[in-house]
Amino acid sequence: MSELEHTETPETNFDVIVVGTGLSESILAGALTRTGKTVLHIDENEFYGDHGATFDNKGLLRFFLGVGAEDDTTAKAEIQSNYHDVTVNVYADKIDEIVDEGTPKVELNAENPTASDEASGIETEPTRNPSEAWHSRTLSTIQSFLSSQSDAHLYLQALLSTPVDPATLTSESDFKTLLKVSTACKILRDSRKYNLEIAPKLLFCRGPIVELLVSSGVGRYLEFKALESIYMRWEAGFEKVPGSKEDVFANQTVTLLEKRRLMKFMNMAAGTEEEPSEVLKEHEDKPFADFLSSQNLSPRLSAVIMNAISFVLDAEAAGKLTTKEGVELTRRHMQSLGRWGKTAFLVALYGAGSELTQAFCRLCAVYGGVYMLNYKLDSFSVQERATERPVKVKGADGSEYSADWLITSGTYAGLVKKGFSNAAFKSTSCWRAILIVDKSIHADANLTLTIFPPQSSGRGVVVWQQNSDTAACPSPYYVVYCCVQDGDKSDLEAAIATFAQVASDGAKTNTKANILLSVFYREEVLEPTERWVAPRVAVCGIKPSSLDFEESVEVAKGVFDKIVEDGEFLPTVPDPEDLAA
Amino acid sequence: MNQYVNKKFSNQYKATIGADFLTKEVMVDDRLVTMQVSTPFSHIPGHTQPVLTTSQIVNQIWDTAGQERFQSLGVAFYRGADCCVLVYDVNNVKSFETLDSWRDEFLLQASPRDPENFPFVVLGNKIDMEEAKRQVSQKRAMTWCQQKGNIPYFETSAKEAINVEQAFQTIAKNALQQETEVEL
Repeated sequence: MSELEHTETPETNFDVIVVGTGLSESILAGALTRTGKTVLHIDENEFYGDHGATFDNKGLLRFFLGVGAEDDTTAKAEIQSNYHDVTVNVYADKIDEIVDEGTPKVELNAENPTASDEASGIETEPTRNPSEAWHSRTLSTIQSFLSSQSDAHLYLQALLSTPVDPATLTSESDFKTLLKVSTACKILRDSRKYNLEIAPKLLFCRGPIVELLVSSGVGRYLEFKALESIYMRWEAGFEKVPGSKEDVFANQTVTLLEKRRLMKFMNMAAGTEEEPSEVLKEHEDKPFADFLSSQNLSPRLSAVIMNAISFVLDAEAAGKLTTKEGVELTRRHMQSLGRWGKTAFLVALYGAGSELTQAFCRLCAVYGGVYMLNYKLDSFSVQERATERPVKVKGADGSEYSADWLITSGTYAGLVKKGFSNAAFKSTSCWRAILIVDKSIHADANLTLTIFPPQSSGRGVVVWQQNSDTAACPSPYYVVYCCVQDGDKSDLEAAIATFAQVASDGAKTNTKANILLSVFYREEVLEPTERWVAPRVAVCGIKPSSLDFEESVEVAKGVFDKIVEDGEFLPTVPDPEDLAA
Repeated sequence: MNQYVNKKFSNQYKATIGADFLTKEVMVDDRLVTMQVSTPFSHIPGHTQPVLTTSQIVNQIWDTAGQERFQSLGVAFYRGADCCVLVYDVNNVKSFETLDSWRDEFLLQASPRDPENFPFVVLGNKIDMEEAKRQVSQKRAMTWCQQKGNIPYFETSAKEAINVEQAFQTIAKNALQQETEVEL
């Protein structure tokens, strides 16, 4: 990338400068050029998406651990300071999986016909050592990876928590070590087949972002799959959350009486029943939890409604939630049912945050927006006395850009605070984990959402699963994302222990998914206490842990309305045929 | 590309802003292919613009909408491409010299299954200008194309509709072939 030169002297005057390519900023940038405003859109990172970005495996290590960074002394991007306590671990894959398709496996087997039999024998007798052929084959997988890429050593060492010098490995080495190192090599070798989201999101089928994608025409850049199932952890198992009347009645673990009560509640929430609205009115300002028990719903069904339909995952917030709010959240979910697939959600291919932002940025570019990624910034300021283009954005290279308006993402809080003394931010954080596992955590679905209701800590955990269906990873693996708002790493670990495990000896297990790679980190997101930090300067900050993007649309629309009076927000793009005619 | 679709040419870049892709039907080996063609490459002065075709449902040709100016194309742009068209200006040697890095960038970002045999097409554009202004000879361009695995090369004028039809026949054909191979 660095070989490509800037071939033109850029213009330096714009109507609006947008800094940060998160979704709110990208929607805004697209909406602005759509009305004819000139926009300069800058990101300090070399990738789109801000704190919703997607990486391949090596990109993830580069982002979190600085592996392979060209120069330690170059200015760190603002976003780097939002991630804390990162730990990366690699664990051995199942032993029968460690066969490099690229190495002459057939020839080896021909020389030693029993090799594959012995290797598969490990499945049933995990105590036995793998064959010599396995050892040499595994060693050659490692060596061929290390010689294939010049930076292979750097990434390998970053993945292995205890340093291993690959040069000291021989076919005599301990098989557990070989297995772990070769698993790491395989993850790195196939790096580009992974699209890992640092803040995964789903889209409500009738939520504001989907409606916007449809109405604006931006949806044509994107591909989606329907989320297949939603589960809730209950006692020692997982409950499938009903997504329709049929689901409610097909569920065999709920008694008929409970089914009727649940249906009654769902109809009431959907607003399809006339009479009980009186009941709702009466409870409107009273706690939702009390209302649910007044409807004779069992604790289990109450938990389903509170946690897995309304997605209120904080015990304290759940206690404060009024019936009116609870019913609105239930309705939000129910209105999105039945549009596509069996659940209320869509999953974006290649990572929602990254793809959606790029789609809106493309719209912006098509309408003349100028894009500068990987551009480090020095300062923001407003020249109070200037009559035109009072907003100044200075790059680390000394260039200065002027505009009437400046809109940034919360990621640039540091620069905003430096430039505008009135700016204040509140910080929210969540713990996240990204896991690569060897099989689905639910036997009957690939694309899933799993809700863990709050336990003793009072914080519920959300777990997403994707696989090759959404290009998250190559087959046969799965990617599992976990998140807890304001919680601790231990909340995540407790949830993960219910569906996944670490098997370092390569033994195959039929109970839980084996973890190959785990990445834990704490994400901090800064939200401005006041969106407009100066008369012409706004900061788009959104809560990191919301399930979908609906807030982004609202934020973008709010800022847009202030900049463009009476302008239409993202009208449908015209048919290109008509434009050219 | 506007030329190709509408048989006319406009010097106004702004005139086509907002046109993301256009459609054009092309006959390739008795098969009717619908190509979606985007804003005209010829309208942005002074720099090379890679043009990509994808063919998930119909053949689409996307151009970069100017996002490549500061190397800000983004990985989403490269998804599913079946052919990459590199365009340079024969009157601008710099635009020719960046072809190498654009080719590398494409192969890195799109990471096609078989990078050695991925179809590229190179267009030397703006041959309608006076000969004295020409900075890159046909021979030099063809040598480069040969070295990179015999990339088909066309000298075009979007303005005067020279060779444009032929170039797009080749692009459509190669993109289709790539698609068929991927399906197999």
